[in-house]
Amino acid sequence: MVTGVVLAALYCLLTLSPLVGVALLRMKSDMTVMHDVGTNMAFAAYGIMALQPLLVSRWKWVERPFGLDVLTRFHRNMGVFAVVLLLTHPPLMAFGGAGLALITSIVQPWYVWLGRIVLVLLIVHVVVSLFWRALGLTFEKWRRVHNVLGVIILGGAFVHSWFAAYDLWLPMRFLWVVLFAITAYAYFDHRVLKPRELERSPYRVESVTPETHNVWTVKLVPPEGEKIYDYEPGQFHFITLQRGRGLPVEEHHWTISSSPSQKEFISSTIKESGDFTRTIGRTQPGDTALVEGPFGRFSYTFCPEDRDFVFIAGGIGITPLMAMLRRMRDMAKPAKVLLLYANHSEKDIAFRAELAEIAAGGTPELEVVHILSSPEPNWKGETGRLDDAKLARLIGTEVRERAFYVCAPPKMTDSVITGLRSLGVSYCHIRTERFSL
Amino acid sequence: MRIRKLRIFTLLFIVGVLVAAYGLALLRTYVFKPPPESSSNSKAFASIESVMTGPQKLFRS
Repeated sequence: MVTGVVLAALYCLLTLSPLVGVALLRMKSDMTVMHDVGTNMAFAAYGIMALQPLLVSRWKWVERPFGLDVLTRFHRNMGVFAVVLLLTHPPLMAFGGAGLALITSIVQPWYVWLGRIVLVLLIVHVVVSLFWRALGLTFEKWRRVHNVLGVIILGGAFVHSWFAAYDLWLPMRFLWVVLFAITAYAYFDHRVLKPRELERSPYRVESVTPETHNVWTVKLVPPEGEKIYDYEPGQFHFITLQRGRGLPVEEHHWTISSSPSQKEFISSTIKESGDFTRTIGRTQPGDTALVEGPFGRFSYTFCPEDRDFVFIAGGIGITPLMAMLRRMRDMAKPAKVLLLYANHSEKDIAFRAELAEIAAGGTPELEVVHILSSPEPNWKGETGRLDDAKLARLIGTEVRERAFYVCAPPKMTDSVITGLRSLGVSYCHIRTERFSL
Repeated sequence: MRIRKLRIFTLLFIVGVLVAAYGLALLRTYVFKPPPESSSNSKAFASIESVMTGPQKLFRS
């Protein structure tokens, strides 16, 4: 908690340092207010853009207090915010006294043209990042575009501001270089140093087993003489499968479905849902994998005071909850768990037998309620969607002391959170994990 | 809960940046107003060329 507050304060300090620094070092201005606001917008945007790579660099000390999912969302929000700030930058300067020629004239210094190009690229960058699925891009293609464009934009913004900003006296130029160096190192570490380090000790695929008709568990073992890294149940990792045979080599993040008590292997349970994941079943024992982790804050171990749980899973969202249940079983944790597990049909239910086994074992005290939206005619359990009325009926009214862990597709997660809130569950007791970063 | 905290922080941060950008511009223009003799420059800039001073001119030359 304290680390998170300190890091958040440090982020504010660093991002605002260009804006505040310029103002403090050169307090006197003979420009109009509008013009100064225009330049301030750009200084603020530069600070925000400079720290963008750091947010998603996967540095453990940055990620741990917040979780990578939260940092990625923040990275996305700040990207949009930087665009908004920069869109106001030229018009405010132009109408603030620099003249409309700043926007309309072709005859401008090269660094003004560079600024224009950077702004257009940034808009494209953010639009593509927000709508890459709608634009028909695969995750891997989008990421490649994102990485290349990001570097060009940051480099361009640095050069533009270096030459265009007359406020940049020597101390500020030093700050400019420091910010740029931080971002360049974060990028270099993420794209070059870390992959090389992972390649030195690749994991090996031990087995690939089907859990349902379209869900597979991939079991990985570390290189000989090495231990599996420490992780908490419910966390996720990034895996790059190196399978050869013409199969794609892409990095994907998957939840760890094994329990940390298991020291010999680590496993992920993966659903076929895209071009890449449809090839998971073709992975063979002996293939290698680069594994980077763990990440995420979705685990009961981060909230040791929780004793009475309600787990709500939608489809493959069961995986982090399964890891937690396995850990509770292995540690004989005296906990009470109600699992509401929604699927389309019986054939989609993963880990059905093991869940029944844990429930029969008695520790944790587990009750499983399967809910099917398209059940077979002979299904005798719960049916339909997990709506507010069903939530209220299944959970009951005693919600104050219970901790709710929700992992489901985004729409279901939102609907469940709304339902829980209407039952009087405090935000503090709702913990969620979204599938996509 | 984490997402809620993130939303609150994001909102506060955005408001903070906008207030700082506007507030610092106001401070520079009104509170730390330059002496009248140096303010003549404000009338002079009709284009970006005219607002270039100090290091920028050096780079241009």
